[in-house]
Amino acid sequence: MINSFLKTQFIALLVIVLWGCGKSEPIQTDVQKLETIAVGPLFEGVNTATVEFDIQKLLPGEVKKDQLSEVRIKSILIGLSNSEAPVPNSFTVLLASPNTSMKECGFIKEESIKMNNYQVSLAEEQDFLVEILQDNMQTLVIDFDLKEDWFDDLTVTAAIDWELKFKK
Amino acid sequence: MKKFKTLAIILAGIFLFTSMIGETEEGDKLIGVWEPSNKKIYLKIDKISGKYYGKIVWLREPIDPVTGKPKTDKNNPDESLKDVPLKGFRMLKDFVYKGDGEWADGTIYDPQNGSTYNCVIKLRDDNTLDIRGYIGLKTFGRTDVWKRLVNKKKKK
Repeated sequence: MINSFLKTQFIALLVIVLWGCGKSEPIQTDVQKLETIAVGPLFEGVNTATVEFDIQKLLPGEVKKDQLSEVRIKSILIGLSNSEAPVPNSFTVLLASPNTSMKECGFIKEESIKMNNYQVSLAEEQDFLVEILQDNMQTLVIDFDLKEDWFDDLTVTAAIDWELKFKK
Repeated sequence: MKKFKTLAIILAGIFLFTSMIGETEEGDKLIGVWEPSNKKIYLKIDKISGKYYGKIVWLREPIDPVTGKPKTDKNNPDESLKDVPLKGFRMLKDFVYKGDGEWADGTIYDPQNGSTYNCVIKLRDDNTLDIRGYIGLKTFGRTDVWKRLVNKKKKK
């Protein structure tokens, strides 16, 4: 009786270990394009644009987000659609979800913006992304520091290139 | 009997809905611009996807005297984030309203040492907050009093 119980436990443990050691497979996805409107009037200083999304919609049908095992952001490109709007001093990009903590993904410095480069400098530490992407939904938060008041709406876009791996 | 049941369900629904709205309104009292006791910064607290977050919107000394450039989060434990501007930095994260004028489950970040602490916020009155940062147990922490930035202009 005890032998049979131990045997079952050993097999269960073996299955868990084998599953844990299973090789992660890469997922091919398109660059994720998100768009949101920061509703004006927007005053000089730090303003925020947010957009909610579900990463599941980006994944191929056979992959569920619970299966994600490794996640990195390869690049984020920010865009502002209104060419007449004041150019922000800086951007900070964060990700949040209902059951995890909000985390900084990267930022754009004033020097880059001056050179018309809206590519986000990414955080080295990205281990938190798996947990965020596996949650019910995700929120991309873009904080931007406006140089002057803007009395209209501002459309902000983000193109995120993900590196995703999953376990079967 | 059936009519009574339907009426009871409708009334329960209305009660639940109105109490949820009441809870949201109470929780939203945290939204606004606040000044910590050291008077070095202003923090704007806003609500994103149901939780409350606070970002620095004003610094008394915005320029780093060493670099001559806007201050950045130079004490961030992640080397790659040391150049994130302090103006706009989210110091308060993930607060959930628990009722009775208290927000919990959040964290507060101290840019002076790059440390993050557990934090609980208590509304003392409409314009005063008790912010308690702690590690582990609430008993071993420190409370700071924050004041709401209110328009001091008097109506003529």
